[in-house]
Amino acid sequence: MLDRESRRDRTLPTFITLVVLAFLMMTFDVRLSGGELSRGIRSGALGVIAPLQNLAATVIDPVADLGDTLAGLATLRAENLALRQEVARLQAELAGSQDLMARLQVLEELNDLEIIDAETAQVAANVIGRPDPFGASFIIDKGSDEGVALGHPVADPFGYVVGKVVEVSPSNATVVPITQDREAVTVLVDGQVGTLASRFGSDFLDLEVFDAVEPLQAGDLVVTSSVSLTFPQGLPVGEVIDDAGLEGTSISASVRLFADPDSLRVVVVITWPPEPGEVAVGTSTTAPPASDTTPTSAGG
Amino acid sequence: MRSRRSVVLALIMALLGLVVQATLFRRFNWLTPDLVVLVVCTSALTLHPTSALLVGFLAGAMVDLAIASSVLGLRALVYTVVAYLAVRTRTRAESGFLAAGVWIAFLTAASVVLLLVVGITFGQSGELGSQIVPRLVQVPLSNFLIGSLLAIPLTRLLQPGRGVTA
Repeated sequence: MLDRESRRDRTLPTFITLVVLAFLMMTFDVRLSGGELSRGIRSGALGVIAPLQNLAATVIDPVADLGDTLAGLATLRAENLALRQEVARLQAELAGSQDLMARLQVLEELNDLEIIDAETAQVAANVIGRPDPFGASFIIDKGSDEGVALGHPVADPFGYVVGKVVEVSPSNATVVPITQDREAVTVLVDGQVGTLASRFGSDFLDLEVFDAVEPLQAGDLVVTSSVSLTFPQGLPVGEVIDDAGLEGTSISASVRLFADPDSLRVVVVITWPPEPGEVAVGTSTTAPPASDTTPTSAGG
Repeated sequence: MRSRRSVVLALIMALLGLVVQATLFRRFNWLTPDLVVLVVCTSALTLHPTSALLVGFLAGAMVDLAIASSVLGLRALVYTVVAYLAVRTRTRAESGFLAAGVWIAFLTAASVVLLLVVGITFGQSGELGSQIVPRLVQVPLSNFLIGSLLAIPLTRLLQPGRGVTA
């Protein structure tokens, strides 16, 4: 039943040749680390594969959503009630915030402050595919035609940091979550600057604060720092999961990410840093926190 | 000529497998097959050994290109080795769909372990993801389930009259 051709068996030489070729490809790719040629080939491949995924997602998603809805009918009523209560709570919170905003405006006028925030455009995108059964990188249905560019930060619909764009074609882009990124993120926790790096085989991230002045506590909020080169400042990233004490002048802690990259269906791409000229003069008047000025080399 | 057509057909099947696994199976956390490995194994059952190796290499390179965070050549290497193992052990899968499923599961497990080892060696540990440990079991099991069902139809599609018998 099997293929038993009587030709000379060239299986082993072919195998060795292909293995050597694969090793050469890996070596060149690692050495060039995202060179123009490699980026061009990948962008072209994304241009071929992404439309197919888009088509498949268009067919599969509605059917699968219908199945999910039917399976979850029993819990919908309870969920609806909980959401109504959540809306009421948020409306009360919003009313309180509006009062605070009005007071802030009055204070700004009294002090003659001019705080101009850099307007960052946001592009909402659907997650259309996850080609790797091991990794959490995913493909979205927006690309350079919609203003998405290499390195743009990506957040979930609640504004929590997810990752960044690593590959772009005209109509699609690939996003790598920070849980998988080789590059650390510079963050701010409890007024101290640190770096947040992925941890092999874990959903948690490793936080390192090198010039620490006080210990961290479980639940401390981790946000992106103003010295970060890859994320705008102030985006919530996650929270410290255990108390961490000082070890000399440094602290190591584990951080749980707020966003869940594995289950995302929709993301928001943040056009940041803005194109030169888009930032209004006076942006720098937004002063960073006092301790948030130490540049770090490890993070981006 | 027929061999070349079969290689192209196997690569098209690998591409479709990649698309289906990226869209349909991303919705299930418990069923996470590696359909490209499945196609590579099936190719080893039907194609000439050198053609099967070529399918493994090219399908791996295709997956490397599709996963932007992966180093180019990582899966090309892994799937070539899987294709070679499959070619050398393909007689084990001849006796029926269940044997084919078990055989595919073992080859998938080998591919996952190899991916882990080579990935870590080339500094790709982060890209392998936080779910790598559960995936070491889930991916071979998923491929066993799907391989048991699809091995026979796929071999018949690749080369009618050859491959696994029911």
